Amino acid sequence: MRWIGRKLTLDRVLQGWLRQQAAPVPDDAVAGAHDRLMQAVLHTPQEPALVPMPRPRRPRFLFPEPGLVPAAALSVAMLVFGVWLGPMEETALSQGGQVYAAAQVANETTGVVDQKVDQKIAVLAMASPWGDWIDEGD
Amino acid sequence: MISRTVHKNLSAAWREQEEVLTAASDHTLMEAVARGQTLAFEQLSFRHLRTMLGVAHRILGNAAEAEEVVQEGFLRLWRQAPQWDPDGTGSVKTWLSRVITNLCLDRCRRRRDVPLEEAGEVQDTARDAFDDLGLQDRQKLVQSLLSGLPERQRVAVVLAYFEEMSGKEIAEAMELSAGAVESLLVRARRTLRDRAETMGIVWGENI
Repeated sequence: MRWIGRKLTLDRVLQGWLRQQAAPVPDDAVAGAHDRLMQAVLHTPQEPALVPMPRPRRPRFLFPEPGLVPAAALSVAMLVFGVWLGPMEETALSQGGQVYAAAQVANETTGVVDQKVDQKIAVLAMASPWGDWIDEGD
Repeated sequence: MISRTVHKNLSAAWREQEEVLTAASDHTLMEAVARGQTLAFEQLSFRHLRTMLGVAHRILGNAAEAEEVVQEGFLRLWRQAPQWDPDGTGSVKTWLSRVITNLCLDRCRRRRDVPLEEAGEVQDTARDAFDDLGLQDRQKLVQSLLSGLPERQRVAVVLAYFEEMSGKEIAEAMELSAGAVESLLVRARRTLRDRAETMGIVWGENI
């Protein structure tokens, strides 16, 4: 506490001394500066007030990105198509309790079934959705 | 007869307007200045000009430079008045102090290569030298003591001791924390005491 008291005393002493000794600003200096300032103000234009920028108007979409809608529609269509096609293929290839891979049924490059290799596979292939096409190709 | 009546009415209106301006707060005046009213600016500048001239003079140590800096500060206030935000900017005095002290610091940095003063001119190692000095010499001595301080310490001392601004106001004006301002003042006091002792002035004895 004594330290704080001493510090405050020194502070006040210094402040009082500085204020007492410091040269005051003469009245004529203030008056002259004021006149010159007002003359300068008369030739100084003010800056325009800041007007808040209007927010850019954007078209309103249901989704944030307009490209999202066709992309989503395409995804849904492909999903539906896949759901419909998948069981048909599964049914065709899993008859008789035996599951056959698609590669076993049809040659992917030509679509032509080698009936000499396995007659049963060829029959199953005819039952698959590609049956008609394979038939035509054959 | 008619012209005398008109003149009388105009004088009364003028006096009334002057009274309104004198009584108006700084914020009210700033609103008027923002609308381009030079009379309001005249009143506002009249209120703060002496203080700001004192601040700039004590920081720069030169009356002509001080007036240039103060004029630039007030002109900036005039130019930017339409953008004045009464809630965000704070008081006019603090704003002016900040702008003018920054302008002073810029000037000090520009002329850093050239020493601001040679304090040796008024040095006297005799113990009673201070008492023998005349008023003008004392004023020179105070100015030389101030000029010997680093720039930011000088600004803090001028605002705190000469303008009696609070720690919060100084912190706003100097864009520092209150702790940083106090630290500047502590270091400034120490430097002032050391420099004063080299000039033969001892705190508590001569002062």
